[in-house]
Amino acid sequence: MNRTFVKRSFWTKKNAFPIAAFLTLTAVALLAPVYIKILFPLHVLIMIYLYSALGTSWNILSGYAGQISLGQSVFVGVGGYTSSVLFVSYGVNPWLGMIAGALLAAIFGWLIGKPCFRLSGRYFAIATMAVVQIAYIIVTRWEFVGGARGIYFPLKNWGLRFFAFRAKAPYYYIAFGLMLFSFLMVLIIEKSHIGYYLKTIREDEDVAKALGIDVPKYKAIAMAFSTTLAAMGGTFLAQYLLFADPDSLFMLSIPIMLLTVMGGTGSMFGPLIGAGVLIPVQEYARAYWSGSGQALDQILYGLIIVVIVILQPRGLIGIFEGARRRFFRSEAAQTKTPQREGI
Amino acid sequence: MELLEIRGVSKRFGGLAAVDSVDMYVSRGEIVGLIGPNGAGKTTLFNCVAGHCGITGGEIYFDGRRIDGMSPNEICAMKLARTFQIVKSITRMTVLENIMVGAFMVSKRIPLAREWAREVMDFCGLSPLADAKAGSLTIGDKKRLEVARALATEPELLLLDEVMAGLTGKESRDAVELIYKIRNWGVTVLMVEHIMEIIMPISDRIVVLDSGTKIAEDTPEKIARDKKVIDAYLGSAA
Ligand SMILES: Nc1ncnc2c1ncn2[C@@H]1O[C@H](COP(=O)(O)OP(=O)(O)OP(=O)(O)O)[C@@H](O)[C@H]1O
Ligand SMILES: [Mg+2]
Repeated sequence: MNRTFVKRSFWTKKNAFPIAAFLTLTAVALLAPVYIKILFPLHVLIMIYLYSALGTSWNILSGYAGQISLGQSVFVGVGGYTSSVLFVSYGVNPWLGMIAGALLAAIFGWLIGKPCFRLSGRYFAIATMAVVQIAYIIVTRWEFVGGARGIYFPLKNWGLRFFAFRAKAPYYYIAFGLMLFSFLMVLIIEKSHIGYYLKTIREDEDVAKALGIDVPKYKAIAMAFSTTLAAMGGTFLAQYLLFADPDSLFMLSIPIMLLTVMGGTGSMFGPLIGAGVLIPVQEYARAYWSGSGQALDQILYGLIIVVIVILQPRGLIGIFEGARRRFFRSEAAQTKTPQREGI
Repeated sequence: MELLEIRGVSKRFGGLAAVDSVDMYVSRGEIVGLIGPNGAGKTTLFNCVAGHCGITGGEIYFDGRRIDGMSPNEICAMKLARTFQIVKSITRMTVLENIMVGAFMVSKRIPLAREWAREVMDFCGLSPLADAKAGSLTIGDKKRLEVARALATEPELLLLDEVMAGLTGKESRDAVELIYKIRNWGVTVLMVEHIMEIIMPISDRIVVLDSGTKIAEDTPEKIARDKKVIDAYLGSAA
């Protein structure tokens, strides 16, 4: 039983493609605000990054750990409202507010998860759905947090220190940073035992327990990652809109879930791909047609979802993975021949 | 004290006593066979020992410590591992990744866990399938993977639930070979098996369950001639 440590090179052919792609895309993304001077496309990109991060928050809990959350928006709301209330009522800096919101959301998530995680998965799904409804009603009636009107920021202090800008470019970079942070979280999970454990829990909890996995503990870890990220997205959204109201922070569960499922659950770039397709549709459709009051934007949105589900049930990431498999086919054919010639 | 001691253990499901005050033990280094007709309570007894279901009576000791009431993961951490009668491979993971999940009990560091998993994979003859998705394996290889994954947690006692059911002649000969190897590696084995030609020669001692109760316990030679055992099997066949 001598366990030896073999260092494998990071710069393999298998890694070269994702690394090159990542660096290129990052460079393009960072330069975008320099070239895009029209506000609307920039707004759409900001939303893509934000929803990618929010999708990832759902993906960690539901895609990796298999604990389907039907009310992910409650953590977005807790994050956004915490920083907004702290800022408007107590003058607390929004950056600090973001940390406070993330902590509160994590505690909130722990309180929801604690009783549910010992039961079967559907209790958790139902609980999250109920909690977001209750939270929505409470916030709507609670005058201290602005009730149905919401909280409007005093537009006095601008700049990085106050997390408030007149231009879109700074928001763009912060949203991009938030998305990178979400990828970092996924990377930490995927490149450690946590990822293996979460996937095992998702597939079969009995197997997980039999292999020594403390199931409630690892569900709680997934919950902590997930809620923190959702809450940070909530603070960002409030700072971007410069107000917080129940509809814009507590009603995002369905799009968050949908775009992740569209893009591909349990994979790092699924949420970004899903957001990249659905958010432009949503935002442009809303901008061009919503005024007519015919809900045409909703219909188009629905149509696209139906088409994706029919063509690519595994999510859009399936297309990308298919392409990558073709790219590496020759290599795979040499190394991965699952043939056993006796023992 | 023996490695595993089961004292008067019962498990009732409503009115049905699936396991009824069973006493048995397993000593270090043994291969013990647990047999009995379908529905005798063998899997239920495994579930009780491994902590997957609570017991309704009795006590279970492993390595000198009382384990009934503990959760399966705590019991696994005490170095008691089990396989499932109905194989539960993580189909979307590769063979190596499946084994790594067990190997994290030895080290949480990926490179160390991977090396250890490779060693276990080699030991179980699964290396040629390292990168195959577990869902694509034949039933024989799935059962082997089930054993490898449990073995990767580095157990002192391994509970094997019908790892040879549904295997071809060659596959079950390989499996017998593997079980001897596991014992020689220093792991004690308690195994359930229906195929008498396999369980009889391999076991040091046989325990027979029927309708939840222990009806016999002896060396394979004597069990083969035991009237109660023959009746139980003929009775269930009739
Ligand atoms: N979760 C459960 N709820 C109710 N009854 C159960 C449950 N699990 C097992 N039983 C019953 O307990 C009895 C023993 O079942 P068990 O699976 O332990 O038998 P077994 O000896 O493993 O049989 P086999 O050889 O077919 O695997 C059976 O009558 C079964 O129907
Ligand atoms: Mg059984």
